[in-house]
Amino acid sequence: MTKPCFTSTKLWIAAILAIIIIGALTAFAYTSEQNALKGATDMGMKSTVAVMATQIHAEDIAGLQPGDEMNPQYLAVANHLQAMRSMDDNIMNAYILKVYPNRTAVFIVDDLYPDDPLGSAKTGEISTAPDTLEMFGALSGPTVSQQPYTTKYGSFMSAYAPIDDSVNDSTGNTAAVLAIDVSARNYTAFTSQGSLPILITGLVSMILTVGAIFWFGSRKGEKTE
Amino acid sequence: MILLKKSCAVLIALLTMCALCLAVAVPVAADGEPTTATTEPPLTLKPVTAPTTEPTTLPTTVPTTAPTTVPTTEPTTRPTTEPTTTVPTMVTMPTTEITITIEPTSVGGGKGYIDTYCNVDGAAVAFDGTYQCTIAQGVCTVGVSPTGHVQTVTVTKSGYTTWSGGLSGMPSNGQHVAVYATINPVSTPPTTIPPAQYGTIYAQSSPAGAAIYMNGNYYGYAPVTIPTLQPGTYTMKASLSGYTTNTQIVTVYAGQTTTYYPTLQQSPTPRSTGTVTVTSDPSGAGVYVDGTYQGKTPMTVTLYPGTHTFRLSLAGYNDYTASVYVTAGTNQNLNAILAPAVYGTVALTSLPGASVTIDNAAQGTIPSSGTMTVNNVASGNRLIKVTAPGYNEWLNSVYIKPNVVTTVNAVLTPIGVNPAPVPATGGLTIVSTPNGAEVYVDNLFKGYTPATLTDIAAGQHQIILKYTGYMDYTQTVAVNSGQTTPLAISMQVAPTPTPASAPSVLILIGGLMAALGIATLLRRRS
Repeated sequence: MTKPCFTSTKLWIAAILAIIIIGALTAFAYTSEQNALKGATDMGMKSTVAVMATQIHAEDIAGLQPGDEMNPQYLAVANHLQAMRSMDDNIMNAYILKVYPNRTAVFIVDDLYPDDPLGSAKTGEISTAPDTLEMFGALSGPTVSQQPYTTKYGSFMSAYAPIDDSVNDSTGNTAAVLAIDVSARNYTAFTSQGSLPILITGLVSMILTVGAIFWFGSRKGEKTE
Repeated sequence: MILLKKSCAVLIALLTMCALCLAVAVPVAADGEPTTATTEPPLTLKPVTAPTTEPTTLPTTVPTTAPTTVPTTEPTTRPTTEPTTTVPTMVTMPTTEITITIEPTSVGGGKGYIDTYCNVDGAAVAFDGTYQCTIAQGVCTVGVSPTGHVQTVTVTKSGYTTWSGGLSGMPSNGQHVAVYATINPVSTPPTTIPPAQYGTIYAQSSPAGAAIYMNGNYYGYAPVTIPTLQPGTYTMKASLSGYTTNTQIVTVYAGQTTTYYPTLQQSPTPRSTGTVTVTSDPSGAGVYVDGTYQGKTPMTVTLYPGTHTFRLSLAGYNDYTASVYVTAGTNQNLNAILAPAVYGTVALTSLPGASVTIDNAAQGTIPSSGTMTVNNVASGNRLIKVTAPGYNEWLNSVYIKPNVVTTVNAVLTPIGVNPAPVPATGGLTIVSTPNGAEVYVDNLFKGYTPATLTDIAAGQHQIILKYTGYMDYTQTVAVNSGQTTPLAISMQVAPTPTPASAPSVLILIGGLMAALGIATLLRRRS
């Protein structure tokens, strides 16, 4: 009389163990896939913004002050940014910031200003993006937001790169920081692709495994009887 | 059997629970809203280098939120080459308080004023123990009733001595009475040595000699010491020609020397090249390497290592062709002795009196016999043109065989006569799966599928179909005059990039292996 109960207990233990193992493997696969996609996307954003930054000269933005948004110098830089940005539909905005050692970032040029003065940042406006560390780090090299963020302008993922003044035969000091924004929705959608198949695969594996355990276990029980 | 049914029921419940747990444990951020990642993304910046010694004082707090003060916008001033630690001038809100005038609670018979002057701003003024105002810009004015009574004025501030005194008398209506109070700091013996105010960064690169930048400004070549730094974080960069740039964020503590020791990785070396010096006899031959014109002999060509095809061409001489294996870092010589071209003969039959040119060189007119023989024509493809007044031009490229007679029959047609009134164009009908693909004919956009294209010149054309999410479809199609060629195209779905680390197949295999293992174990035990 105790044999069936003993067998049933063993089946349950085997099933639980299988679920734990497959669940752990699925979680591992999911995390790895997410990290791989995020890493690739971030690297692409950094490369793009770094190349764009080389196309802006420090002298192009020298002397811009609040209220200069409609002067030819500002418009020339804004148009240049817009032209570069238009090469990739995923880049929603390109702008130049002055970043101070205390991590304050101030807008110098926003490429959306000529088309949308009300929905874009003006010269002298302080950036409220939480990427203060990334902007600060961009004084030395390209950086990217650690995760999407939201400001009054929307939800974005940003990449930053230094604009150096080497064109003026100086020592390559950083004059400003170029930033590009990618829609948080697009970024999240891209970095989440492939998640569902992994979860489904894990779930199917669990069902098959547990089903096999009980199927073979029950047949063994019938034979014993 | 009952036990089996119960087991099945519990099993289904267990699986459902597991699925729910999995879904909760692994959030899917597919809605596109910015979500806080549960896994820490790879940092793009190395966080902080540890100070050389444990800090004896707490580091200053670094603000992580945007400051509320507004910096003056001198952001676009060109940075100087001198290493400077320029801190932006901040326009701060006025810290000095405006003189406060407190209205008396009961005013009768007008209002007088008691002006309390004090040497320390921020000190609190109290009348008969009741707080009245705070000293700002050295004074505090309080309006009082002339009929009231103020016996004692007290001025206090933390860390300072307390001053108390009386009034010479109550002010009458509109009159001011002054009280002068002096308070001094309370001297307390220092219990600890005040900590140093500044820190230092010492930068040394491996290999040495890298240009060191702090906060984007150049400070010198490593090793370099950057002294007198306010405690806080700084972004460092080391740059050396031939090496990849290193960036890092370091934290400076008061009284400490923070080290920045970047190890620079060598940049990938550019591909090595070799050279080939090409000469010819006679010189002046055109040099083509792998089909690309390079110049005229004598000349030196720089090439990547490997086999390259050289072709030398000079009018009146046969082409010279050779394959050369280029070795990195070496120079090779290629001397081509060009052989005079081999000639053939052309027997051209056409309308008597028609003019003949071969490669734009006039050869004369067709004699009355109707056939002209031209000797010593260099073998190869030659452009022969035959013209006669009132006739259409006859123009063709003819291959002249060496040492034999090549016969050419150039039939001239009178101008104005259309000998073949067949339409010279055809059409295409293109359908695709899926519909709506962009159609390009010879790289020109023609519309979307399903499409019927007419007036397409007879002959071979390249058709390209493009559709988002599908692979481009390319096909060369022959269009016949007066006919419509149908095309039915099924486009292939573009493969989605699969991340290298997505081991979903491994999971499936692992799961099945586990199942098989457990099943085998159970069967063996039975």
